[in-house]
Amino acid sequence: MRRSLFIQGPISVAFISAQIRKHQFKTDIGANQIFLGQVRADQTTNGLVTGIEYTAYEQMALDIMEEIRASLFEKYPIRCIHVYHSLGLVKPGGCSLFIYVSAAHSEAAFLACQQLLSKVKKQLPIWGKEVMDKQQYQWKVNTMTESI
Amino acid sequence: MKAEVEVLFFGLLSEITRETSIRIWDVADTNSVENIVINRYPALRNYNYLIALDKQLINENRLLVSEHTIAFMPPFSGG
Repeated sequence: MRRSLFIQGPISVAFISAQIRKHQFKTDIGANQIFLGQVRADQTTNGLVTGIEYTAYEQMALDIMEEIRASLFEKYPIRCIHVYHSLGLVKPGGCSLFIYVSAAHSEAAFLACQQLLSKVKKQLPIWGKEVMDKQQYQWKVNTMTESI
Repeated sequence: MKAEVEVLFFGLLSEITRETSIRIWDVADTNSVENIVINRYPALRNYNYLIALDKQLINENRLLVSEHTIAFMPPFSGG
């Protein structure tokens, strides 16, 4: 079964809390590491960011996500991995990326989550278009540290 | 045998080409596809792009055998 990855619009707090609740039934988990990516209202030379509109090559992203998942399960003693990314418009303050990694112990959950975030940003074919006030826009550029 | 290819454009590149997909017939390899695309949309020369053949990133020429999907993608910027 292929897992879901994309959610239309911002990822709601209700959805995130439901995921947390589900994991409370898994009693072999001792550590839940969560990352929430949130859209910023950056002031840029082209204006103020009023939202990010996300598009993706969805089928390729799902394939790559399975490869990332397999590589992390091989490397770390973790119990489960969940990744959700927004498509369409997310306004400042809205959550566009939700990563959830569970393990028996905290170190594996923490390290796997950090590496997962880096891989999601570098390897998934997803694009953000920063929508500005004054009806302008610019394409988002990811700057990443190479070490992770 | 020459292949039939669906070419996809994503993100900024789809704004340059004003298309999200085109079809190309009678091509033997991915370099031929890239040459045809660049000739049709010369402005693409000014942009960085990645190429995926059937959802796998490629860095070198690949022979095409039947029906394929080739995606032209700007650098990724999810998150």
